[in-house]
Amino acid sequence: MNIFVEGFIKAFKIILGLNPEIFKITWLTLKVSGIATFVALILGIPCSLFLALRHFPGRKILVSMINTGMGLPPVVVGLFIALFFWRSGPFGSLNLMYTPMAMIIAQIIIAFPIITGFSMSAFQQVTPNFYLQALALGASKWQAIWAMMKEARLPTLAAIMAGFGGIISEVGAVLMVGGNIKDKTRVLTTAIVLETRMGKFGIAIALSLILLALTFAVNYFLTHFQQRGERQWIYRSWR
Amino acid sequence: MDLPKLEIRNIIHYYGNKKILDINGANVKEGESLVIFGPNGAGKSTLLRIMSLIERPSKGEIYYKGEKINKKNSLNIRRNFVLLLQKPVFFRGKVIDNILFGLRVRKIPRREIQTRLNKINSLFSLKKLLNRRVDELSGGEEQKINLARALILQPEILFLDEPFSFLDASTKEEVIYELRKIIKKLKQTTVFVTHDWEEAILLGDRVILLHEGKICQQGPIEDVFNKPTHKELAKLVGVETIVKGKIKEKERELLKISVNNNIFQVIGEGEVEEEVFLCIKPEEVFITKIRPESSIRNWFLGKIEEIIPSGRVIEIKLNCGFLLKAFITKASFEELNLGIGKKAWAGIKATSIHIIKKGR
Repeated sequence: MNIFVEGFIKAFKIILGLNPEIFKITWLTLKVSGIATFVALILGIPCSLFLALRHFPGRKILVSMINTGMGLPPVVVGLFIALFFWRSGPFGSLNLMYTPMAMIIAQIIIAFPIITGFSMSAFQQVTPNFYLQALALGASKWQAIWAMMKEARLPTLAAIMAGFGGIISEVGAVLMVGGNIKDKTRVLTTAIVLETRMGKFGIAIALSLILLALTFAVNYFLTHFQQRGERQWIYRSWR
Repeated sequence: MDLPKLEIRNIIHYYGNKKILDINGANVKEGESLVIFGPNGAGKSTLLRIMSLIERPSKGEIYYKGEKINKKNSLNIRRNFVLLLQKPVFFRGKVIDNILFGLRVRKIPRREIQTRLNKINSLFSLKKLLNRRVDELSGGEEQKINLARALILQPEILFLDEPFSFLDASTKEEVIYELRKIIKKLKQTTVFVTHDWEEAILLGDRVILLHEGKICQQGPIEDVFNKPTHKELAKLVGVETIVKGKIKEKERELLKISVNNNIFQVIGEGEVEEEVFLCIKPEEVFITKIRPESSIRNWFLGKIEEIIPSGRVIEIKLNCGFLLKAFITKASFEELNLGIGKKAWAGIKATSIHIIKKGR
């Protein structure tokens, strides 16, 4: 029991002490996962719209691939990115291995299918006549798509939360392609693994608490937008 | 001659490999109310979407006030139109956001928006509804808002795709009369799709009859509805009895047509030995107990097989060697003391029977 109490006491001391190294790690985590989520969103939304609105040969295969991708093991992504960016790999000359850029790329690959898959079902849930109704009232094609995105904003924000949650908590890929190099590629998850291995439970708990707080803060911010103006309709029932 | 407001030429439209529409030409004139009428699957809604520039046809040309529609001008011209869907879809939020949607996408200045809102408010008495959420509206209110958000755009042409099909009978009647009043008051050019001939007669000036993607008839509504060219269309315009017969004699316009050993005398066109379908509307059939002396040329004695009360009238199915449907008022029904199994005479004027050539 002591190990917990001591760990937590130490963790609070570290957090309150505003350790610059921990601040650096936290900032890098937020930067890497934030950029990766943003890029995955920019790529994923048009793809999900295309898959939701258009029917073409091979669509089912693409959708199945996206759905499979939603459960992609991060270590497998890490392995393939590492193979690509390894010195002798096809993109070895770019010297991206063990850099934040490689970590961002790996996280984009993990987040992209999650965001695309969830947003696609979000757009599909909007009635098919919604797009037609917008056009019927004079909207241009893009205005109609925008109206549809606004209509699907609740589940789309859920998709962003799922994507961000999936990569900020992921350790396999960032460890493989980032290498957990101090002051360069160390993020919260890889730091937690390292500190736990070294038996420094206090720092590990402190980093875990920061990771939890960070995830909560980002999700709270997104939830605020998601739930704005929404009302729940629960009918009084007999049982 | 006045240029039509909207004109379509040589329209062919496919969904995949299936040809949905094949139309040589049709137009909409200023201030008229045009009805596109036809059975389910005739291509009515597709034609409406093409005319309202929402869907681009596979082939063909569309002209608006003489100007040919192309990719560049299509959005601007489409914004002169509004299409009301069969089942309206509302955007999440308040009623007012739905009403102003069309004005906002057109980037209409705020002052103008307010003026139009005031105008539409007085036309539909919307004040109480404006700040309500759309999921709190009743069916009738939804239709009202749907119409209001279309008319606030002051469309040059209002397109309606079976707008009353999801309404219950009383709301439907109310909305139809409201719409009729507004169309007449605003002299609104309207194109609407329906398969209900009563709606068409109430709201339309001119009709296009669509069958299997082709226009088979068009013209003033009463003319077309009294002389349908296809069996399926005849059923849609209120013809309840369709029987097959063969022309036996011809004296100028008067044809003698044999139907199961009965001879019909009909005014129409056809050749001897030609097979035809005879179309009889139930309201054109006279029912009596004793055959009277009259100018009516066709009298048949039949046995009443079925009696169906339908609203203000009673529908009778009479077996005269062929099955004949007739409407009779409740008072006449009681006066004539009719009942199942009893015999009655049915009289039909030679001019009240319409002929459709076989194969149509």
